[in-house]
This record gives sequence, structure tokens and C-alpha cells, in this order.
Amino acid sequence: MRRAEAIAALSALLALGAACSRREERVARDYQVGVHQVRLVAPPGWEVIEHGRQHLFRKDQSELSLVDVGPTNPDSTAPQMTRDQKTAYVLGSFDPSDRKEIAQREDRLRQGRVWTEVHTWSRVSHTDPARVAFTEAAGHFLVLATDYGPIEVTGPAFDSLLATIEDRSDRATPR
Amino acid sequence: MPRSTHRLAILAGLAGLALLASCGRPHQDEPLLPVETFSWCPQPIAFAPPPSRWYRQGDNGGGTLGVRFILRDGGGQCISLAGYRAFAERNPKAAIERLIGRRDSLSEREFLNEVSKLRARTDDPLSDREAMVAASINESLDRVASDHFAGQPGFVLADLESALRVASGYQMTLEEILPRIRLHPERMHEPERWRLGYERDTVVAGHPAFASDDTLITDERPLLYHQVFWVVGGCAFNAIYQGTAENLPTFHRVLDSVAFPEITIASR
Repeated sequence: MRRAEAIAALSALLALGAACSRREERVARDYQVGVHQVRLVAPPGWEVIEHGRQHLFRKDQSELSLVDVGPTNPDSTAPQMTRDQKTAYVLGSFDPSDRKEIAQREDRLRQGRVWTEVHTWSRVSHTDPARVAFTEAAGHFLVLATDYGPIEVTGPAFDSLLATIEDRSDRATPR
Repeated sequence: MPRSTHRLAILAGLAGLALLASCGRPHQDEPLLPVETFSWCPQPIAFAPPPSRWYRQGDNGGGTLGVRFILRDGGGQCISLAGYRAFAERNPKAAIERLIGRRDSLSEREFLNEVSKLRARTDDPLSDREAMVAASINESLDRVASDHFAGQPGFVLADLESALRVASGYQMTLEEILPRIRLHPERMHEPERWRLGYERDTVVAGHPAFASDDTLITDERPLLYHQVFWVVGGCAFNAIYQGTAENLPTFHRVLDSVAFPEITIASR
């Protein structure tokens, strides 16, 4: 009887531990991505690698990146960029070739900021789908992108991450 | 046989016939995928791709840019559509337009460098008409450099506009390029595998087209090898079917869905 009780208690402890560790993975954390002070919840099972201006999220052979790609107005004497120009600038910072084209683009309000979400694919065959989303804060672009890995893996992680990103830069002093 | 039993037998027979008919054409009514627009050349092309059991691959070779839909477990059956990018790039019209728009923001060295890149190709012309147009464009561009060094900016602009007028006035025709792009078995890797069949004029999305219904002899079986060529907005396209008679209707449905969206500034 005692042995059964001990096993039951141990099982309950193990279950509690597992539940706690799962909850721990979903806790929001603060990161400094370039000038952006960001609070986010990493997708479960994805490793976060902090590289200053560029943070990587890796799981097996898949990777997402969250990057400060620079000022939203690189030429201060030029007029404000249009939406198309901003999109072209951001996409150009990832893949300067003309192999990709925009399949779909929409603006969505997330965590108090407007994010432009872009679905791209191969210009030639409309294969190799990829995702890029960007917003502006502290005068810089903050960009989330799928780097590599199957879209069936990176797509849900991208959505999960994007839903939680809170850019708190305007509350902090930019570096 | 009682009347009710007789009726049942007739109904069962009809159902059996319907089942047989549907089994004989398992994919005839399979819907195509939603229409997609491709920008392989300055003239975009839109069409409904075949069902997803035809997986796709980019196709970049022989001066074309396009997509090939390959039937899974189909033994080499495929549908491809492509644009002749190399032909479209022979005409420097778009590049001349761009240079006219940004010439004031370029340094002298950058400007002359850009002018040198505009020269129309004179090697291996598509036709006598294209050769004359290329020579005329290059004469105007030669004057750009001389007028620039003579300190005549007004003449420079006039020379560029003259080159643009000549380039804009030329659009290649199907007749000019057909001899180059149609199937010539003797130019293929294994000429004995090809059998030329019937040639005919047809129409694709309201535009005149040339079709050739040929045969490819593979190790397993002979396959239909149907090609269709057409030119729209100065861009040449082809659609090729390689497969069995059973899947030929799918090719025709894809071809029937072809449309040509208007060229927007963004897609140029």
C-alpha cells in the first residue's frame, strides 16, 4: 500500500514538474534587438540565440530571425518612404536577388503596433514560400523572417512568435 | 421477373455503367488550382495550375523562365509553361526609359556607363527587321556620348528619346521566332526519339498561336508531345504537354485558363 502511494506521489510530482517546465518555456522574456527593446514568448522547443542586432530562433534544421535592419529613413534628406518602398527596402535587406516576389501583403495591428506581413514565394515557380513581417519603432525597422526550414515548421512558429512580440523601444532610451 | 425486380436490375445496371464511366476518367473533372500570375517577362501571364497531384518545379533554361508541373508517379508526364526571357531582354526599351528618368541623378561616369549598357544586341538577330532596329538604336546611343562630350544636354535627351522611340516601335512577332523555338528533332540530344506530327494554327486567350502535336518515344512507351507557342505584348510564351492521352484534357484546361493581365508599373 505504501509503495503504491509512493509511486502515485512520485508520478504527481513528475507531472507537476513537467507542467511547470512547459509553463516556464511560455514565459515572456525581454531581449535587446539592436535599438529595439522587445518582449516576446519564444515558440516552445525553439532555442533563442542572441546576436545583438540579430536574434535567431532555431529548432532542428529550421530557423527564424528577428533583426533590426536599420533606420526607417536612411537618407534623412529624402522624403518619407512609401509603403511599397519600405517593403522593398526590408525584403532587399534579406535577399538582394530578384528571385522572390510578393504573394500576399497585409497590415495588421499587433500589440499596439502596425506590422506589415508579407508572404513571398519564388518568382519563377511560386514554390519556396517564406514569411517576413516588419514594424517601425525607435526610428528603426524590426523584422521577423523565416530563414530556412520547411514552411510547415517555420510558418506556425512564425505566427506564434509574431503574436507575442511587443516592441517596447519607445518606452526605453535607444542605445 | 416481377416488375419491381426488373426496375431494380435496370437501376443497378445504370449505376454500374456510371461507375465504370467515372473509373475510366478518374481525373477528368478534377478542378484546377486557383489562378496565379507569373512575371517571367515584362508581360505577365495568369493561368490556373493543374491539380496538386502535379507537383511543380522552376524551369530556367534555354533562354526561358517558367514552371513545370510533373505528375506524381506519372512516368515522366508533365505540363510546362514558360516565357522566353532572353528574347524579351534583347529590346532595351525599359532600360532606356529608366535611364531617361534618372539621368540627372547620375554622375558623368555613371551616366556613360549606363548608356554603354543600353546597346541593342546585333549578334544573331531574330530577323532582318530586328537587326535594322538594333542598328538604329545603337546609332542614337552613339550620338548620346558625342553630344554629352560636346556639352549639349538638350541633344543628349533628344538622342535618348530617339532611341526609345525606335525601341518602342519594335515588337517581335511569332513568325520571327518560330523557326528558332519549334521542335527540331535533329537539334535534340537523341533525334530518333522524336516524331513530328501535325502542325496547326490556333488561339490562346484570343491571341494567334502555333501548335504542333508530336510524339516522344520513351523507353517505356510513346508519349504525346504537344507544343503551343504565342507572342503577346512583345513577349513569347510556350506551353508544352508531355504525357498520355488520358491527361491531355488537363493540359487543355490549363491552356484555356491562360489570360494576360495588364502590365502595371510595378510589374515592369
